[in-house]
Amino acid sequence: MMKVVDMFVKRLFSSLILVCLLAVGASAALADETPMDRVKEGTDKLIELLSQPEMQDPAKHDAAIAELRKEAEKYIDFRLVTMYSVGKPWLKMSPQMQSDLTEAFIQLLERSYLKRIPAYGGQKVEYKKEMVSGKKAKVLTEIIDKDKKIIVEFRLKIVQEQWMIYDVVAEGVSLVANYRSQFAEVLRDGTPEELLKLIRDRVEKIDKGEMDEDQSKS
Amino acid sequence: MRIVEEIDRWLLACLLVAILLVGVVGTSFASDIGDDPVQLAQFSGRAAEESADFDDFDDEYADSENLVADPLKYWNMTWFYLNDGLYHGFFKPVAKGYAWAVPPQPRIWVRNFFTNMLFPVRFINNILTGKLDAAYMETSKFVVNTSIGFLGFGDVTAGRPRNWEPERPTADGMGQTLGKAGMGHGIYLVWPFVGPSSIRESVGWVSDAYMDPLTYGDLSFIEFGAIRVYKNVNTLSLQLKGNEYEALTEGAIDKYAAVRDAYIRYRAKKVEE
Repeated sequence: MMKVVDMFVKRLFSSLILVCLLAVGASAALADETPMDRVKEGTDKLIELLSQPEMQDPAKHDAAIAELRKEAEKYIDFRLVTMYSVGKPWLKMSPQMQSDLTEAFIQLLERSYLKRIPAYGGQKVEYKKEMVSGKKAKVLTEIIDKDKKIIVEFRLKIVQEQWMIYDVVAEGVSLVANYRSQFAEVLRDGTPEELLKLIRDRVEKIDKGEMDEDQSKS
Repeated sequence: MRIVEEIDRWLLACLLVAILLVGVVGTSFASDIGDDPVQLAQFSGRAAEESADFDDFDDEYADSENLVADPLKYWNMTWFYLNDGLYHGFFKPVAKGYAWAVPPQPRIWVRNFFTNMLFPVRFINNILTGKLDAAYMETSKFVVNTSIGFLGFGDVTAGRPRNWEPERPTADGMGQTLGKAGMGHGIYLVWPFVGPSSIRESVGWVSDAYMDPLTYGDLSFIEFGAIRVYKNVNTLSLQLKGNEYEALTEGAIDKYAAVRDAYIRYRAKKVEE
């Protein structure tokens, strides 16, 4: 009888392992590229795009932003970024409000963060580690300046069979969490409409600020 | 033997079910994507998926809305906006003018001098947090830079092969040490001129001042303040492009909340390392 039980346990274990292997195989097959490949490809492309001289030309500003956005959307899922930044209230918003917020937030992020990448362009980026758990992954990188090291973590999720970035954490500061703390202040006693207006106003202000700087330069 | 056969069959059945399940999950995931045109997916397909995995992701950011107690919010906000105004209206223009007048190299020397002088703060806190390798590194750097580097103006150890990196980054002050000892922030505080802080970090800041040689100099309050201002202007002049404060506040719709969140998370990371 002992032998039977022993065998049973062994079989059970081997079949469990097989199931696990199959499951892993299935999830790996969903995304051809690893999360790290995706992050590397995305940052390389954006840096390349941003280092082109046309990017700094005010006359071609709109075209440059449009191109930047097209490229960024291949690697960053802005809808997820917006959704997690808004938090729970997102689920109660109308589809129209959700897409309006996403659109406004994309514009804000393009102007405030993406355009700043060239300032970090000269430094070396080291891809350190990749951690995958189910449909989520983290990619750890180090950006090395002359005497400074900045630790940047990218968070990804499988969307439409591809790893998409939904958060960037620099020195422990998560972009999504940072915006969630701000949005929460607004949504605590305000409406989604007010939040949308605040984001749009901010975009407008940044655009105006740039105009002033361009004028003072010329 | 019959028992074994039966178990065998049972296991086979289990395995088949498991494979089918994995297959279904896989294909349903794929078809979910394949069938929906992108626009449709935005509104119908994704809505269900979004609420389904929302809780899972919500855990990741669950602490965002109550990261630190802030009972003195209005007091803090007053100083925060004063500091922000000082940054844009005074410190930044002064640093810009200073950077225009003085070439980078002398400014780097000045920064090195102040960094070297704060050696006791890093050394003592490295010892207190058990970072002995970092304490050793700091000591050897201090000895070499103070002597050969002429009072620390030159950083002669930078980029040398012997300037290895300690296993954990060197300590940055008593606030970090207290955090490692398990002390919480208490409440969030913003000080005029100094910026974001908390009860713990304020205690740390005062202790660090006791380890700062500048405190023991024969200086009046005004002279002391002037040196501090000069030190900050000098540091800022080397970070005019792409500095963290501007990157953070430019895109913020609520600067105050953005800086509070970033400060607390950055300190948490420092305590962790």
